[in-house]
Amino acid sequence: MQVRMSRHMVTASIAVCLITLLSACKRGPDDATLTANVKSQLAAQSPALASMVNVETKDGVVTLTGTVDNDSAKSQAEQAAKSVASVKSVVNNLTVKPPITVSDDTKIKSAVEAGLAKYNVKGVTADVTDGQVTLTGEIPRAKLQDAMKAANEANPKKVNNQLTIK
Amino acid sequence: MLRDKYQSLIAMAEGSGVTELEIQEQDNVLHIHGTAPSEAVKQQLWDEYNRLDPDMRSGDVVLSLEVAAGGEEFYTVQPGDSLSKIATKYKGVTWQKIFEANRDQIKNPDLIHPGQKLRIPTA
Repeated sequence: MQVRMSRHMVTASIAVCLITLLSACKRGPDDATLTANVKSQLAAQSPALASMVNVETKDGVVTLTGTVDNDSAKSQAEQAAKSVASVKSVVNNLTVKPPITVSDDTKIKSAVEAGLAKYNVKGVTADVTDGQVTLTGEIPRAKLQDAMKAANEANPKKVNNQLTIK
Repeated sequence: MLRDKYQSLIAMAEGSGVTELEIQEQDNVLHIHGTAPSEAVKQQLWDEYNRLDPDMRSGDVVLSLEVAAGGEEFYTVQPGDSLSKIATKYKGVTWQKIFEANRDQIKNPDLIHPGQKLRIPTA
């Protein structure tokens, strides 16, 4: 009896081992597959972002490296990686580029005005507030690019084109 | 990301020899700064930006390109000039190239006016 019992126990423990092994197999995709899944998730959201982010996976833990434009891109990449099934956790080692420095409003304004003169643009007014250039006035379509060049080349934060295009 | 919206413009900048190229999205504006090798390349990039945003009203790009030293030259049209006559003054420059670089101010290549300042592209 005791022998039989132990045989049952052996059978049972083999069964337990098998189940454990099977469940280990079913635990999820391997690291290479997870890396591929994270990359395709990034590409689905933004091909440009995917091209700036390196992905590595070890034991289900995804590490992101590379340089992105801003904090929102950094967290977007992290969220995308976290949304992939079977990813245990995400180590976000992405670095963010230092912000672009913008000249003060007076400098921007004089640069825009110099540009408008250089490109021979007439009838356009440039207002500068908080680093943003706003163009107003009337302009023929043929001179639109020149007016925009003058504004853009002053390196402002933003250009608001409120020109009436004739 | 704005980099996706302006992907063709970025690819063109990266592929056309623009130096000191810096591209960065900040506060929902895509900044593209750099030095174009010639006036013609700069114009090509502006035409691409203009193609993507015909009225240029989106307010989501700052395209700031300088032209490399020697890449920008101007010629003031004199009475009796024609594009082909001007082209002979510059080695390796054809009248067609001058016409292309000045599309914004020349509609008909046979019609230029004294006093016009023409961009002379690099050969």
